[in-house]
Amino acid sequence: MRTRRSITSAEAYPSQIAVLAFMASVTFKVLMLPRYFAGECGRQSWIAMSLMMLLDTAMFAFVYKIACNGGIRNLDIPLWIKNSAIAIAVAGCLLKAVLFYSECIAYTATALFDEGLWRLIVAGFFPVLAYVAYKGLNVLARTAQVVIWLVGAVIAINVLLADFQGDIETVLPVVPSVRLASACDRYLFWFGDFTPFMFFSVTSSSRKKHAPVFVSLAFLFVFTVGFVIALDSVFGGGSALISFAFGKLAIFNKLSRLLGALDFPVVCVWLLMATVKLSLLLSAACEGLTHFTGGRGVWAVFLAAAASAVCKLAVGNLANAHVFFTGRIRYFAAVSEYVVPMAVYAAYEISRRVKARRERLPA
Amino acid sequence: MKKKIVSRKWLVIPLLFVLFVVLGNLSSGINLLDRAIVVGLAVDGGGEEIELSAQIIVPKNGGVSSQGNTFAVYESKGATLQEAIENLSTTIGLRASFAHTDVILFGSDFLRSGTADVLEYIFKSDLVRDSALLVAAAYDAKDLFKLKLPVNEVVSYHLVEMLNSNRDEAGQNPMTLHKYFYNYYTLGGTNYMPLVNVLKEEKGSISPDSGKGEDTYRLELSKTVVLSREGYVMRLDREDSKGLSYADKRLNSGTLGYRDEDGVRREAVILDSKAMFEAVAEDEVKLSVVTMCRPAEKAYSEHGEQKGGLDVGAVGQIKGQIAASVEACFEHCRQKDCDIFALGEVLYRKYGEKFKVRCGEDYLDKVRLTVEVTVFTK
Repeated sequence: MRTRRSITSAEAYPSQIAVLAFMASVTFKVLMLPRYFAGECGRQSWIAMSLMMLLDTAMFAFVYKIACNGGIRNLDIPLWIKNSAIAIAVAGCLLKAVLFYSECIAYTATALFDEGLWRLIVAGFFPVLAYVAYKGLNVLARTAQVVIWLVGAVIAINVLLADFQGDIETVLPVVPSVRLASACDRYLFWFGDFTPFMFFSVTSSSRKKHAPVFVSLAFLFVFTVGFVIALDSVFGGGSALISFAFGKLAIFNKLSRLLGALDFPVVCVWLLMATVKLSLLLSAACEGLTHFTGGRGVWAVFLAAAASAVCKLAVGNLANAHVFFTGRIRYFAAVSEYVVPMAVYAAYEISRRVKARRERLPA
Repeated sequence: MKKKIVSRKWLVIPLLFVLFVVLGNLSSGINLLDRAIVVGLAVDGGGEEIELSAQIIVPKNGGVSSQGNTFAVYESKGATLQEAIENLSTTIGLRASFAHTDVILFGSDFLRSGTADVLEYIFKSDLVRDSALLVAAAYDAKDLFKLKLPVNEVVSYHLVEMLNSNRDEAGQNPMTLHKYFYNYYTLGGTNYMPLVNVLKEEKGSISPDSGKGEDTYRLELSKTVVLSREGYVMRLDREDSKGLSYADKRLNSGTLGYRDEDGVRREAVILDSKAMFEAVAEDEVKLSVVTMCRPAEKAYSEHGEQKGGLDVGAVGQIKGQIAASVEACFEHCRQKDCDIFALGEVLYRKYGEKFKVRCGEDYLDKVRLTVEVTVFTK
């Protein structure tokens, strides 16, 4: 009789990774990024989004390959490469956690409450993030599997009730420009969302089971680019003034004239996705830090508390976060999100080939 | 095995308790009755000071029923819109809530001083819904709230009913907050708003009650105000407003006059009308208007048989009328340097930089508009 092996806290099945990858990437790309892109490159923001999403998708191939081979911690690569990569990736995860936590708090403060106070919202999120980060990928993946149905339901309702009154030609003409490159460069921190998966391991018995991951990536690309196109079609250049793009989903449906008809479910669903995303970043940072020293629970609480404190005390408001994360620090994101996974994968491949060659050599 | 005193799963309960208490504190206990629900907002002033007037609901029966609520108008001033809004809450004594605000009226002085900053604040801060209607007043916007209307005495609701119903009438050009910013960022950035015209009602002409007591008024929205990014530019008369509506949106209501074979003046009702702009050359745009009409009154032949549809002559007159009003609207706006149909945008989308090189910044003088009207009759 076949028995199913119980999986550890850092393991997940491909179908779970597929759901998590979608949430990890889409959550903060449909909130403030469309506004930033519209402000930077106007009607070409969909091209900027497409280019960066293609880059992210390509990067996922490296990250997923690492995860399929047991995760960075279990890879057979030189220790100094492993330690350096983990340290950089952990720092990248923590920086991203602070950025996205700030956006999440700002959204909660304005969309759900009347002038909600940051310190109270931080106090609300902190225990949840610490707990889920402590529990690890396994719990996160199962949570994501539950949440995705709610996300799907809200998107489906909006599509079924669609009353699209935009002009799709607003996004024309397609003219590559310097502004496009500038937008892609400036908002690097909002991309490269798959690095946390390097710390985890994918459990799968057959190649066929990887199919959901590729389907998820295709859907992710279509959804993010389609969302930007739809938003620009309805608001045109006015997209540059929209603070929280995802909250504007109702503008695409027939109920937009009925106050709050679909706004509340949209806000709630986004908050669930944000919780998953933030926990994923903290959980990955915990995994990385436990590579150097134990005490996963202590790290989870400490990192959640540190991220909360930085958001409240150092960041304070979104304008500060925007200035900081679009400054020179953005090149650190390029290193941690793109260079590190490629370098780790290259090191793994070289080590594997060298080892194979040594095994073939006569003693 | 040593048994734990408290199982870990029970820790979830105090965790949730803490979470609810913390998040519960955020709502500050403000309920519906502690809010002033603003249904319409009038913005006047300009220059040094912004004057706000708000038509608010004072809910009765705990705000449960929509019936029996009373309405009041409050005013406030401020150097900025934000300050005026804060002062408004102080004047009312309750927190002003704009979530139900369906219409924003602008006084003529305010329009002349520029609307973009105020509207940008409203749009950015999600103060009102994106579908809120923008309307221009001929004089002070706040005076409109004081009018006595015989049909629906709440001016804000009356305006929303006129502009937001399922009837899209020729000559009425509704503008919403999100459409304003869509137009604002197109090439040229020309915008428009319907202009409220106040007509004094003859006593007893609308309802028997309207003849008693004080004077009553009727609102009309058949004229339009044109705005550039800087502010007020001009007013469109009825015919020009009709021209704008034929070109800009889908219509299912309105009338067109013509003379029949006997020279009798008759009217045709618009059943459906839609328009499409197409860039045909780097400096030429073709507008195709397709309209479906029927005669307003049934016509009969000498033998008493009912005539169907419109004859060729009537169709020709209607075509000419639509084309003339569209062209007149375009020409009048062009004289004021306003690209009312966003032709620059249409050309830029198709020809990109080629159009900019060919026509330059002052493209409006070089662009030609040809109007092609097709009329179907029922």
